[in-house]
Amino acid sequence: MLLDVPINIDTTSKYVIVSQHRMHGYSDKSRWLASMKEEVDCFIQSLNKKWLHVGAGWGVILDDANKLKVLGVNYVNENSKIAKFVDGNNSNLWHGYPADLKRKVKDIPPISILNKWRGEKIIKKHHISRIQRGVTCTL
Amino acid sequence: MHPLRITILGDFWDCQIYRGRLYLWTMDGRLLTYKWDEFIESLCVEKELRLALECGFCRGDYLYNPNFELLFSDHEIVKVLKLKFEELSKRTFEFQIKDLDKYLYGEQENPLKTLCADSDIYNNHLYVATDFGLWQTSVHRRSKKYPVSSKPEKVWDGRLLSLKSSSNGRLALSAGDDGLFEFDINDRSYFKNTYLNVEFKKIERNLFQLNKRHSFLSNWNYSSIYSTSNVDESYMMLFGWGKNEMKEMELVYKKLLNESELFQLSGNTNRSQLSWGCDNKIYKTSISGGIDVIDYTQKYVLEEDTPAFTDIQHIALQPWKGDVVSGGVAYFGVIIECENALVVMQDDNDFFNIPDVATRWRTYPRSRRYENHLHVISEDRLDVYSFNHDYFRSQEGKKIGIRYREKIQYNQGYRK
Repeated sequence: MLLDVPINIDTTSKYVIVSQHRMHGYSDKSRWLASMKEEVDCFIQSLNKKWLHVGAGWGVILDDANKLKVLGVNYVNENSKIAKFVDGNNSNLWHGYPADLKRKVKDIPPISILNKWRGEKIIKKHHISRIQRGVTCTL
Repeated sequence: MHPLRITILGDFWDCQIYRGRLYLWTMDGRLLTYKWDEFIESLCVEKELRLALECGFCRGDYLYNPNFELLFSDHEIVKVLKLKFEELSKRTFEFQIKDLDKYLYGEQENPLKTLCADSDIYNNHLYVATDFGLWQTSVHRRSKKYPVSSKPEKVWDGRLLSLKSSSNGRLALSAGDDGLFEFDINDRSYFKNTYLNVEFKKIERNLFQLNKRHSFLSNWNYSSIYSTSNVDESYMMLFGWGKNEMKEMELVYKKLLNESELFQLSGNTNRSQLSWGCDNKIYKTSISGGIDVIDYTQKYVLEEDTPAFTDIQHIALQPWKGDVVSGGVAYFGVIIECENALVVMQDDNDFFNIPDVATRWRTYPRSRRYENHLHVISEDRLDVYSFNHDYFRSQEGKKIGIRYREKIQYNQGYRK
């Protein structure tokens, strides 16, 4: 896997691992800590499970104990366990980054996706509420 | 003094209580409206405990009545009343949702068809913040099919984290990194004049962006707004009422005060965790576990000689149960939402810990009859707590909890 080079996911979708969200030195960008393979797998899961909403998707990485794994950090180095994926030009060319739920309202997953995660026992009801209210939430 | 409690088991998302009706939003997309006062009447208790039950759950205003002042100056009478509340607090009132069927006023599909971030009721209208904007719809309708109108109207597209109505029809809207907004429900021209004069950004006809700085929670200190942030410094936007050249009352924006400016006199060097305000109180928690309190006097806000902020006090406490993530104020005390519990600091210096992690909690200080309620929704239940110690305490000089004042009805805006 190479940085900034589109990878074919299926017949219609491509995914780019963006260097700005991988390398140090971009002070306003969140940064992946998960491996590049984990990042792509996280996106594929989001696509397959239809964790999508109006040109954006959200994903998580679960560890062996089925707990949410830290997948990156925001620009002030706080851990993030939720990824956001964006189809920037509505052309099925996606990229993703660790979401900053407290600082960026647009990074908050919609309630429909949070509710699906509750259904899959990934998060609990109070997590949904805290995420949606922008309240500090330890996942 | 322990609170009373009624538990209703079920998978709920949100609740509101208004004019004798309890509204419950379920996770499976229903909105249930119950005849709350009738339900309370139906509870079996001895005749001697009926007064405490009624006051506790549906007549919160009753014992605040200044006519009882003489009665309450008699310690024996107060003692007897307190014993009744104490006795009732030992009782278990736990119900399955089907137990309330008899008091169901109406069941309908959630009119917004989505779970909200926050909601509030003002003057028979429900205001709802959702992922796809701010909506309003009428409540307390006669229709049993639709106690809440099934035709909500969109007010604004902006995504909001929380909202809070004032007693005179202003709605404070917190939109995270998009800032703090205000919607004037009554669409009054003098608000617009004030806001255009100070160059708040006009978004819609009666909706303005007051500040671009981060806000996840906001509340009313009378006419002023306290905006709480968990990523940046919190701030207060000071408004007061003055007279214009025509001798008409008009709303005046004075200035913005940062949390650090507000608390600079406290001498407390502990790093702040979170601060919030409501009516005459502003609170700030610190990592060491204590809490700073400031008294705010609205009538001095436009005066230069008399300070609007006084009585900064520090109350040392045990360390919080995890980080403080949010907070609120009611007459009966301060509500502190910690990472792993909800803590109620009562004005009688008692603490009440609710160990469950709350999905949502609500108080109703602008209500007329439910101002002593704390509603807590957790994974499998709604707990309706009723705090009753505050009736017996002087409202002057209270450090914990807002001061009870007789409520003036602005355009029927107060919750009955």
